[in-house]
Amino acid sequence: MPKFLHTADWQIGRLFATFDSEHAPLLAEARITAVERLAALATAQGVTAVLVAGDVFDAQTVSDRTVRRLFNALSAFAGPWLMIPGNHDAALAESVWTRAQRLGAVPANVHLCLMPEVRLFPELGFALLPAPLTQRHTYGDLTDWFDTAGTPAGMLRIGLAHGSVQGILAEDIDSANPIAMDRPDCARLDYLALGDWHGTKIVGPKLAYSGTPEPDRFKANDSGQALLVDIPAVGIVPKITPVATAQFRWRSIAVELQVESDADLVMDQLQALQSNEVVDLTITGRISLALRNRLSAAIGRAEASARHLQTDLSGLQLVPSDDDIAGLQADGYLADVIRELRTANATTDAEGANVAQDALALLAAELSNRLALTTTSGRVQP
Amino acid sequence: MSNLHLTRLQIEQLRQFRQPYVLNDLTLGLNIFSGPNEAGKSTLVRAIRAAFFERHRSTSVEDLRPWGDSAACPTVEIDFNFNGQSCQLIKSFFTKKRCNLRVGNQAMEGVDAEDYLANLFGFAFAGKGVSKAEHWGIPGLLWVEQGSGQDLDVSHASDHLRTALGSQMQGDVANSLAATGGDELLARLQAQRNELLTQAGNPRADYAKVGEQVDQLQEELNGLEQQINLYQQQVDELALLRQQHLADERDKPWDTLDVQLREAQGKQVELDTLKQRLNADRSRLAQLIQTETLLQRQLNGFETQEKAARDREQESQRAQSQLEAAASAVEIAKQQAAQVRQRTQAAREALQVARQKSLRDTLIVERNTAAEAAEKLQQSLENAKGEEIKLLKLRANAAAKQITKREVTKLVEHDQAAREAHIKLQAVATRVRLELVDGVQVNAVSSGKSEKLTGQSELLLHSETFLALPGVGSMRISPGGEDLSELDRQHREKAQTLLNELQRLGVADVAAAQQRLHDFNDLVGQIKLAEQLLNSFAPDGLAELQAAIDTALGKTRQSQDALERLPAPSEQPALALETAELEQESAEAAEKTNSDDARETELAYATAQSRAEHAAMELTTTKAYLADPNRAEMQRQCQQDLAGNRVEQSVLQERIDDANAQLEQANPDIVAQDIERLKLSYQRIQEDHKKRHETVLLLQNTLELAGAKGLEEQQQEVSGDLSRAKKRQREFARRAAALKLLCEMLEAKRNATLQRLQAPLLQRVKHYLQLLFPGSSIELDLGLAPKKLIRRLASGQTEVGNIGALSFGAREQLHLISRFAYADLLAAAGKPTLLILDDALVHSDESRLAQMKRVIFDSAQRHQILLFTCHPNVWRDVGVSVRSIGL
Repeated sequence: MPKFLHTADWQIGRLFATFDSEHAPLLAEARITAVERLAALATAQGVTAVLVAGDVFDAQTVSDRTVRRLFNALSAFAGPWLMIPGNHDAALAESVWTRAQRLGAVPANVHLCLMPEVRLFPELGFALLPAPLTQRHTYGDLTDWFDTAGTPAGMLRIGLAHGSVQGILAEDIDSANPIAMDRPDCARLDYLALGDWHGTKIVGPKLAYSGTPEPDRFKANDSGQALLVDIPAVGIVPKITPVATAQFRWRSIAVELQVESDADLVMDQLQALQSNEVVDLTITGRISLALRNRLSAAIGRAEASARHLQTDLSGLQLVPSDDDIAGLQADGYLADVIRELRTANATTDAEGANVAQDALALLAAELSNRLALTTTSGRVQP
Repeated sequence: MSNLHLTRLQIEQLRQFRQPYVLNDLTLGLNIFSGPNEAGKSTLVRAIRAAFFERHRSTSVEDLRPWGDSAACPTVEIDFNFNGQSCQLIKSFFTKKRCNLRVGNQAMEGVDAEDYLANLFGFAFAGKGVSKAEHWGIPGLLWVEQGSGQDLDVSHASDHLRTALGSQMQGDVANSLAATGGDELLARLQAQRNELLTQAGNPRADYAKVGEQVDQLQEELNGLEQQINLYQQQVDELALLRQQHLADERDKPWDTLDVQLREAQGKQVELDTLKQRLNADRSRLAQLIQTETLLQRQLNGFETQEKAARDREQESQRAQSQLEAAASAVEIAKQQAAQVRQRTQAAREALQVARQKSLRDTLIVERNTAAEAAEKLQQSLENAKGEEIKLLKLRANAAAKQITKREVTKLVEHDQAAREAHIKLQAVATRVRLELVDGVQVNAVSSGKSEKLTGQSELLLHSETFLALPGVGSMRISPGGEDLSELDRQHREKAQTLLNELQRLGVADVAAAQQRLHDFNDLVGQIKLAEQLLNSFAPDGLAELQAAIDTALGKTRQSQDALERLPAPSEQPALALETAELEQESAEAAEKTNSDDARETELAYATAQSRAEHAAMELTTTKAYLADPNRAEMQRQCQQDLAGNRVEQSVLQERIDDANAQLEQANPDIVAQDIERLKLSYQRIQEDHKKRHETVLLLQNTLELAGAKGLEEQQQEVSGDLSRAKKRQREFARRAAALKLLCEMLEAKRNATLQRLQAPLLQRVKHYLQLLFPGSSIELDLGLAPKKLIRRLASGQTEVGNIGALSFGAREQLHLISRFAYADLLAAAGKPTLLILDDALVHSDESRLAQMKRVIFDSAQRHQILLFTCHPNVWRDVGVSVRSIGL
């Protein structure tokens, strides 16, 4: 009973370079280890073949080292790896694939399907119909030819393509690399393995996106999985089972602080962050001085516990409360300045308000430091 | 009025004051103490300072100990009133270390007492060793040590002053102005700002570095992106080229060209053949045309010969008839010639006769004329000869009597002169009248002349005259006077001249001369007449006349001879000569004409004869030629050839036209161009193909190399670095902006606050300053020390100067004023104020000192002032008595 492991969008060579230098290599490395896990999974599941539906590489000009590492990572599964190029690694006149072949890095059990032609695997009981991208973008359906491609009777017809299935999302209309929704029916496919979408999406009974095995973006899209596809026999609807493959969990936390307890909720979430989480935190709204100090502390702690936490507080407005101000024990002209900065916060333009806000925070910090010092030294203020 | 009043000071065992020394009855206001140097003024001041500033336990006050007294116990007692309470401070050092303070009823001891005082007066103690300026606080400001009045360090008292200033404000205002620890906070923030920004506000240090980093990374990223773009373009190019290459390999477009080329070349060969045949045809045709011309010409020759034969027949006949005509003309001419000759002969003879007669007539006339002339001339000659003889006679006469009128006139003049001279002489001459008896002769000798005198005679003596008187003797008479001799000489001279002239002319006297002149003139008239006559007979002279006669006689003879030689006159009557001559000319002209005509006629005949012979001969020849049978054969052959020639020509022409049409249609030039074009195209397409293949290989190689560089990974990395650097830059920018804003606001607020705080102090300073420099003002620095003096000059301008730059004396004056102002401020704040001036104002000039005395006097209205001086006289005018200090 043929059984396939369907995966796609490995995006090998993505470096997450905008992340800090501590986290970026780990996240890049995770993409290779995800492939290693897939190989192990394939072996463990005893699959007939692994279908890789494009965007194996993130770019054409990844380093030779990266190319070699990727093909090395496949070693744990000795069965056939069936790969097609996607839009990131299209089979151009010169491509990462031609380079890999030149390097001699491609193992014998890896089948690079760089041409739209039927590949027969008679001993394994299936025929592969690949639709490789040979240009960066095409506006015709590369799976058209499946309809008329003949395969020996009794062999499964497995399609492998990379692009956007039409008719699911409004924004996919007119998108590049379109794929007809009814291709499995028209082309009498037993399964059409798709790549391009990074989230897992089972579009139809014989049509699915596996998503990327290791997430690479914060957008919540059900990524980090591969699909086990059991096809009992020709013509039978396959059984599709998602399998979690991700090492890291990527997510985005966006909160607008409106009342004080909102901040508490955020802090609870931060408290709960795990070491395998990659988090993008965006906080907007208004916050008092005291609460901001607490929030800053909480963020500091969370940065230590999560794999990566990137924080955007640029939309968060510091609005010191009267208590905050009283607590600073500022008198004389210091008090005047604080008052003016608070007013400026509300009256000037966004840019001016930001500067005023930062200035107020700085002043508050200095005053707080002073308070802390005087408190510890036990000196009495006149 | 001050709330502090020192009333009594006692010191003991302190420096030179080993015994107790008391200053009693210190008054409120000004107290002046004087004494010479070393009298102890400074010791008193030191004692007061020690009492307050030094801990009683201090071991660092050795200077208080009297010299060489190790057992001494320096003690200071100060009684004072403060806020109405009577107080006493007793402090002693070394052997009996103690400090007692009584304030009203409250007594304190030791450190408590000292701290109480320090708090009250606003100073601090040294942690260790002797008390220094930084501890002295308010007293340090108000107690001026000897020789330090020109210096002012407010820093150790400025907090006290600020507090005092703050207390001047009302309620909330004071609170709002005072900022606790504001300056430190500002300093910290400024330090933070300066870490990021330069003084000019530009990024520095890390902030600047991150900016450079951003630029550098951006540049690097742009470079990488360019490389990636190039790479992608090259990939596309490779795909395209490869596709084209494969298409060419498959379609072999050069094959088509090759086929076309071969076709064109075949066509060209065909056309070349056609062209060659055409050329052959053309040259054959040209040959035929030439032959045709020759044949035609030959035939024309035959025809011409026949025509010539006909012409010659006619010509011969015409010549014959002309010959006959010429012969008859010759005969007529001969007859005419005979007639003419007869006429000529007759005319010639008649002319001869006429000529002879004419000659004879002429000769006779000539002979007669010449003979008459000779006769007439002979007569004239004879007359002329007679006249000539007369003339010769007259001329001889004339020559003998020749005299001129001028000569005569001159002679008359001489005569006149001689006479006048004589008269003059006679008038003066000595007159001697002699009346001699007859016979007596007296010889008078005068001037060599002797004269014999007889009878009655009178002598006029002009010169000495000797009279020989016979018998009597002699008598010498000398006429007197000089004139006489002169006159006598003149007379003689003139008389001689006259005589000479008469002699020269050959006349006796003047009258004779005049007669001769008359005769001579008459003769001249006669000569002229005779000459005219002679001239009328022989105008050219006699010889000429004789010659003319001879000539005429000769002619006569000649004519006669000619006549005699002439033949005898003929019998026939002679014609007039002119008539005979005309006849002769006419006859000769006719003869000549006749002769010419005859010659012409004969010539014409000869010509006609020759032509007739020639024509006859030619005719014969031609007839013989035409009769030749070969000639007929040749003519026939020619005609036959010509016909054949024409047929061949028309065939050839047709073929040529046909070939031309074919060539025109095929256009061989274009075919040649086609071949060239196709060859080039073939070559080009092959080259392109090859070149494309090479480019493909090159591109492939380039891309392989570029691909291995991992460009997009590098791009990601650089782009990541860049975005982090940019983020950091933004953070810096935000922080810098915030710090800048904050510092600016704080500085502005602080300065504003300070200015408001300083107001009461400035008011006090101004109060005193008006006494010293009316109309001027002082600016304080942030530490409340006087900083600038603003003076109004006499010119009306304002002068702003740093106080540090003023003279020693002026600085001391201004600093004293400041101290008084501080004192006023502190007093108002309830602080104890005591002013001690040790040897102050010694550098002030008289007028300034006078002003300062007013200042001091004014200040003394509010504060107790202890003034120590070694110049008691200077201070006698400040309204208090000067107390002497001394042991």
